[in-house]
Amino acid sequence: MKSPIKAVPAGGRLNLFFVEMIIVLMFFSIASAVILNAFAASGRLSRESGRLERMSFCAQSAAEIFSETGNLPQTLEKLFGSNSYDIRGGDLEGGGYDFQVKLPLTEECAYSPENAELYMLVSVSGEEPGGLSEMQIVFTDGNDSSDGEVLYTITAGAYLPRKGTVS
Amino acid sequence: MGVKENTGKNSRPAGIGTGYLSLMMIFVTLCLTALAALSLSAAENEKSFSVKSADYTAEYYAADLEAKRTLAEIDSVVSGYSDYRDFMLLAELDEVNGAEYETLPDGLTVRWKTPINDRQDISCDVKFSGGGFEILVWRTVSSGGTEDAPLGIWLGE
Repeated sequence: MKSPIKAVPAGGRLNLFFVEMIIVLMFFSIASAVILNAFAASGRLSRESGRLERMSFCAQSAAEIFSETGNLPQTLEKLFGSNSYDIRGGDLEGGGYDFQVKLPLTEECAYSPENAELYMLVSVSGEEPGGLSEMQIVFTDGNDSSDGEVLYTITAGAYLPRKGTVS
Repeated sequence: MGVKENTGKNSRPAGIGTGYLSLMMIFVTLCLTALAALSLSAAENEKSFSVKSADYTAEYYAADLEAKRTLAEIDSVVSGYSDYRDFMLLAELDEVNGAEYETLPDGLTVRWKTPINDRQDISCDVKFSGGGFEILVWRTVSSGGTEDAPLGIWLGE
């Protein structure tokens, strides 16, 4: 059975409906490409802002715990639970100390060596025992072998006097 | 005159007429454009707020560290003296940047401010007594010192 609607009728003139549909489809496809790009950009921005907020909260929690304890292992244990972290430490000349740790995290800032999407580099240096300790937290999006792009950095400190009381 | 037969040659064709597709496409495109613009604007605002919040957090903890450095410096000065009214102790405290002190019968109070940014400072008051210290105040205040300014409300007769 033949279709009653033909693009080119027997008279030779183009069917206006088909001409309009072709123009509409062309315009709509171009407009859709632009609009989809805008939606994709807003989705990417939203993901980035959510990740930045989570990194900020995580760093803030670490800074608060560290300011009370002045101790990196305790800070990490309270923050991520009692997992086995590969903490590299060493004494500095003059009785100071220096600790570094690289933690694989998910996008939600949960400790996960299997599904690492972010890395949290924590380095602590200071005097021992007590005194002023400085902690630097750097979040990167690299993989295990490369450093990657720095996403967020925070520096915090703890002062635990050698004698006396703090309240 | 008889009844005219409908031969189909002069009748309007069934289905969508010319122009309806264009109108529908314009309407749909406008709706999608408006939604995309609103979504992008909201996402940019959210990102801007997150960046400001994260920057402020970093600024606050950097200032907090600086305030703790000042505390460590003052503590190291004060811990060398048993008498808090010692002239040498007070002379050394004068050299600590931004620190003001007040001698008390039972100790010594030192206060200082560490700037967080152009608008806010961390205000610290620490009381030294009995060989130790107690943090009395460690809070964020406005740089203009207007935290105690009256609100301009009616307080009664």
